[in-house]
Order: sequence, then C-alpha cells, then structure tokens
Amino acid sequence: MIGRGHPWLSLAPALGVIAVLFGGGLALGLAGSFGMGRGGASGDAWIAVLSEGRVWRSLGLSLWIAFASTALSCLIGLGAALLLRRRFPGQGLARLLFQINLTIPHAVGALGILWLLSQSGFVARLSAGAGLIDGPAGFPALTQDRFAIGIIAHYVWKEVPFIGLILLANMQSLGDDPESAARSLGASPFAAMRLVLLPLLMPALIRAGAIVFAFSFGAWEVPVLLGQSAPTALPVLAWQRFTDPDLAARPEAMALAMLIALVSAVLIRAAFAGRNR
Amino acid sequence: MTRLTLNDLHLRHPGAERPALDALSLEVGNGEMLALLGPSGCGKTTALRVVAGLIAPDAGEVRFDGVSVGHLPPERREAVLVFQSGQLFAHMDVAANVGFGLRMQRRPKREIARRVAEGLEQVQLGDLGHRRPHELSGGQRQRVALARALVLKPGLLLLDEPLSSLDAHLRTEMRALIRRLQRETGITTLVVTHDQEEAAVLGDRVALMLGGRIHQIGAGATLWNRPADLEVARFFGGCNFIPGRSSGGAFDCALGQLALPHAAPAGAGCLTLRPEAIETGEGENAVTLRVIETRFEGLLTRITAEVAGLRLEALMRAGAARGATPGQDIRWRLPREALWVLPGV
Repeated sequence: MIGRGHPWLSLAPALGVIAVLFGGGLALGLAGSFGMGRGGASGDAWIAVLSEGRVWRSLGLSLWIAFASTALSCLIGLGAALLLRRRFPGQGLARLLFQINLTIPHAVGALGILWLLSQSGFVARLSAGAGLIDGPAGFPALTQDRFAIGIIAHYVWKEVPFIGLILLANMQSLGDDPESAARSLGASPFAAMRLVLLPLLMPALIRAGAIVFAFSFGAWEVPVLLGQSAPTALPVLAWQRFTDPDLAARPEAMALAMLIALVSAVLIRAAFAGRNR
Repeated sequence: MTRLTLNDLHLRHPGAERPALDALSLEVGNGEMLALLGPSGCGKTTALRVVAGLIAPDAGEVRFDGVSVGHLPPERREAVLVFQSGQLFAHMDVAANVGFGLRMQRRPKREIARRVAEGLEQVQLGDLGHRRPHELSGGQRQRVALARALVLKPGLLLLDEPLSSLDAHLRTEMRALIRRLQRETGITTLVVTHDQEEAAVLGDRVALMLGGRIHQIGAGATLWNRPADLEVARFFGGCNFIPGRSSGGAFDCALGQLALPHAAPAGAGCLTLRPEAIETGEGENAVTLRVIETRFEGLLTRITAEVAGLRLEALMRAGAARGATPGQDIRWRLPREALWVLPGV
C-alpha cells in the first residue's frame, strides 16, 4: 500500500471537503425545503410544489431535454470516437478540433447557438438571402421553441466531445485485440464491433451518459438563454423561485432543487442497475 | 488441414527504424506443428498476424495450399489465431465464447450447443460452460481460448505465445494438452514462442527468427547443436567461439588440432560448442586450460577457463565442477560430436 495508515484516514481530507460542501448543501437544501430555520418544520412547500401543474409540465420538459440530449450525445459521440480512433493523416488535428469546444463555457456556447439558430440568426439570414425562405421570420423556431431544440442542440454540441473523449480513452486501453480476436473467429467488421467492442464500451458509455444526463437535467443557464418562457425547464423554475422577492417562495425553490436531485439520482441508479442485470 | 507458405514477406511498421519482417519465407507442411522461435521484437507475432490477415504486409505473399490469400479478410481465412492473453470476451460466458465462431457461421443452435460441449470436453472444462471469464484461472482461460479456436476445425491454427501467461507447472500440463490435441486433430499449427524449451517440445520443427527473417529451420536438436551461424549459436546460449580453419575432418586453432564430427563444413571459420557439452578428463580432443572463475548457477556451475588468450566456458554439474579452483590448471575434453564449425565467421 502506498502511504501509511488506514485508507479511510488518507481519504479523510478529500472526503471531508466533499461531505461539507456537497453533503452539507444537500442537507441544508432538504432542511430548507421543509421550512426549517424559519421556525418549525412543515411539508407545505412540497405539497405546494407537487400539486402545481406547472411543475409537472416543467419536469416533463426537463426530462425530454435530458433524455434527448443524452441519447443524441451518446450516439454521435460513439460514432465520432469510432471514426477518430482509426489512424489517418491529420488525425491529431481532427482530434484537437473535435475536442476544442470542451473548453468553451456553456453560456458562451448558448449565445453562439442563439446567434446561429434563432429567427434573426445567421442561418435564418443566410437562408433568406439564398431565397430558400421569404424572410428571416419564415425560418422555423429553433430557439425559445416548444421542443427545446436550441437547448438540445447546445447540449449535444457541448457533450459530444466529452462522450467521444471518454470512449476514445476507453478504446485505447482496450486496444484492437478484442475485435481482432472476433475477426479471426469469423466475425465481419460490423459484427465484431456490435458483438464485442460495443458491449465492452457500454459501462464507460453509461457512466459518461449519466454525467451528461445529470447536467442537462439540472443546469439552468442554457434553458434560461435558449428556452421558452412557459413551461420553463425545472431548474429554471427553481431558480426563479429562489430569486423571487417574496422570501416565502424559498422553501418551494429548495423543494424543486431537491426534486431535481432526486429524479436524476433515481434515473441514473436505474440505468446502472439495468446494465448490471 | 492446410499447407502454409510465406513467400518473401516484407513489412515495416510506420515510424519503425528496422523492418518487422525482412524477406520472410517459410513453409509449414500439412498437419505439421511448426514452432516459430525468436526473441521479443523479432517480428514473430507480426508474422502470425499477417498470416491471420490482421495486418497486411508491404510486399510478399501468404498462401494456403498454394493459393494466395492476400485479398481475404481475416474472417474469410481458414486460419484462427489464439491470442497470448486469450482475449476471451468478458461479457459472454464460457459457452458463448466457445460458440462465438460457430454463431458467426450461422450454425443451428442445437449444433452449436453440441459442438461447444464437445470442445469444452476436449480441453477438460466440460462443466464450466456457464462461468464468466473472470471466474476462471489463467490456465482455464487459455484452454477456453484454445477450445474456441478448435471447435471451428480450422485448416490452420495460429498460437501466439500460448503458455507465456501461465505458471511453470501449468505450462507443462498445457504443453502436453496442445501437443495431444494437435496430434488428434492433425490441424496444421504455427506456434510462436520466445522459449527455446517450449519450441523444442511443441514443434515438429523449429524455425528461428531473428530480426524479421528466418535464420535456421529444422529439428530442435539441430538448431541447438548444429547452428547455421553465429547469431543462431548465440541465441541458444552458445558462448564458445574459437577462430581457426577446418580441413580434412580436423580443426586447427589455438587449442591445437581438434577432431571434427562427420560432415562438418570446411574452410576458415569459427568452432563452436555448447558450454554444457564440455567434460572433464582425458581422451580425444583433451586440452589443458587455466581456471579463471567459477560461478554457481543453481543446478549447474559455470566455469571460465583460458589458454593462449582464448576463453572457454563450461557448464557442469556440482560433482564435475568440484575440482575447478581459480588459478589451477584443468584438463577438459571437447567431445568430437559436440563440435561444430560456423564457416566464414
């Protein structure tokens, strides 16, 4: 063993930070959602939140955003990783370009999407200029739209490199041998990929997908910039309640935040359990 | 059963200084087990992958039964490669692993089940079909990998260092199993190894590969005792090289005139003999040397001795080595049959 003492003792500093910052935040949020610290405790905020139709519509929208973003990111990320692992001239440059938007902040990316895809945006103007549509206003609504296409587009744009990076690292450690073994036993390239490589990549893909899901389900800045005003994504609703001048809305904000944490924890747990079965 | 021919294969890995395969030619007969022996990095695994179709050579030809297979992808070649690490598919159980190739051939389920059971029986793992690879020992994994290849009844079996990941006692067992299965099935087999003993035991013939080309091919004992050149002799642990001239069945050198075995090459060259072939005592080819150093190496003791500026090394058992003390003179006999001449060295 490296270092001395019990492993728990060595981990204590890191665990302490995590416990205080994240565990403490969760505990305080949970306490706040039950109105603690405001004299007494009650489930009023939870009852109010769960009986409000707007919350359920927001939950539905957030689930749609998260599922669609995760599925598309995983699919495109996997395809990109499969293409980028082959040796070809300029491979290094291709990988760099592929990964470069990992460094761009979400808010900046969202503004970029707005500039690109909104009805007054670059693509709309270009299409109008090319005579494909009558004017920029004739461009389909891709931002602030019902189906959250702008939000999903942003998350996919941002998370494809993340998924791809994790899968590329995974493929590098697996090497070519599993597929070579399958080929030598008579599998076509496609069969070797489908029956051997993909199952071996699955655990990493599910883990990376869970991270993408948790983020796209719980983050508020992108839906604020690119989402419609009603229904809003669930995190936006929580943020609005939290910044409401009426302090009585605070417990509801906490309850919404806890709801977000709970739903994503349950769904991610289910994904891992489904994998292990 | 397939006859394998490698004809003048060349291959240089991108960015590599030396070629991995350098005019490699080789012939493995129908039903033969040939051991391709060489140090790590000599290109033997590359050669195996070229035969399997996993790597394309820069030039040259691979022929199965005289027909070039260069254009065929690995899945359509009559050859199955068993990897050094086994490469069992971790997400499938043992039976699914063994049945993988048959599944690729779209055989009926019932036939697959029957042949998988037979295959596992062959490697004495009949009751482990439901296990996952991570629940097996290293030896069992290797046997599953072997069964997975054998159920396909391939024309050519390629084994890449099949024993190197096993413990010493498992190796002997696995070696016997491979030998027996090869005899029973008669599948032409090319086995790659870096272990001289393994090559000698497994191969009907041994091909020694150094620097991407075959230096010598023949029965194990021939390579050991009648090396074709200096590099072959060195690879097999040869350390005694005496310059001189061979003529009329005798070798003239600093040690005097030594009697040579029948058919030894004539002309200027280097005399070589294995260190363990040297005996103490009088008789034909007996010489006097001064002991320089003795070194205990477990079963054997290595004795370095010198005469006329020429050093010889001998490996002897404890009893024979007891008389040797540094600084003393000693009589060594160089048995005629153990001598060999490397011409032109």
